[in-house]
Amino acid sequence: PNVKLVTSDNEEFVVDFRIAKMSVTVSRLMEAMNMSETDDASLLSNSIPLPNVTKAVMARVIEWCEKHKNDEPKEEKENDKRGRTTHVVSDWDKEFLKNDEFGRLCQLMGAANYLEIKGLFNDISQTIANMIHGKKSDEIAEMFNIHCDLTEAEKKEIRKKTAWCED
Amino acid sequence: MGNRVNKLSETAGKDDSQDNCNFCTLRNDQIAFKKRPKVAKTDHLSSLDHDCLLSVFSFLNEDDLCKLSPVNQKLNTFVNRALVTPARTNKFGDIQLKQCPNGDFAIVTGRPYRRGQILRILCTADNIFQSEDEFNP
Repeated sequence: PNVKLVTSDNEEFVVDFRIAKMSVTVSRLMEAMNMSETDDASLLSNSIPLPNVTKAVMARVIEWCEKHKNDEPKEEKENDKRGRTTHVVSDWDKEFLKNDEFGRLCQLMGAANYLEIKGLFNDISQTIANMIHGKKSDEIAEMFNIHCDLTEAEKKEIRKKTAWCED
Repeated sequence: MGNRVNKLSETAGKDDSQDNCNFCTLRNDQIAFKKRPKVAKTDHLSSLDHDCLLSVFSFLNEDDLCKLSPVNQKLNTFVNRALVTPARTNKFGDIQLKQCPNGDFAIVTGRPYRRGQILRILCTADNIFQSEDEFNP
């Protein structure tokens, strides 16, 4: 059975029921609209509106879901020595996310958050964290085009508080 | 012995007023910023939803978060939210637990640049001290 998803720019995507169920948001909406896998009529007559996702981003989300539709649920490991969560991004996912420029990656993350697709959301979080990891403050600001709205005194105060982590 | 016990509260109060450095309080680093917060349209990282930023930060270690802290106001605020560990300070350097000749246990500190050298014995179970001499009179 197929489910119709409609994006903010009125583009209709017809996806497999299993793919639609990968999104907790879509899953809840289908429940609310009494759409079930066994009831073809309900699936045909209804479509799921997704006002926070554009056509371009939806296409990327569906591409990711197609690849992962048969995955077993993953357990997050907390094996970092400081208790930070670590998430293993597969080679396919790295390649998939590598081609997006940073702005699009952020849009994709926003969509994964709205649609509640945990695997994609964690993949992107880990990818952005990897970009930041090991960089100095000015390198981060330059890399992500961040305008500094702190005064010199505030910067000095923050640096004083975080001096313990400076090499 | 009575004098030593009294120094516990005196010393703690003195340190707090001098440099606001409590070694057992939770982080409370919020700064009252002077400028209005400003995020450029091209700054996609700072423009991320709050959930997204906190998720990214959950995959960073404390060193990385501290590097993000002085980048801009928004990131500073979220770094403070993401850092749930007690505030750390470089005031005391290394902190060790040692057993003393009389059987007491002491928390001993030394600055990183004088590793191994005891600068201050902070306390035993009952007392707080200013110097090693005071601990072993």
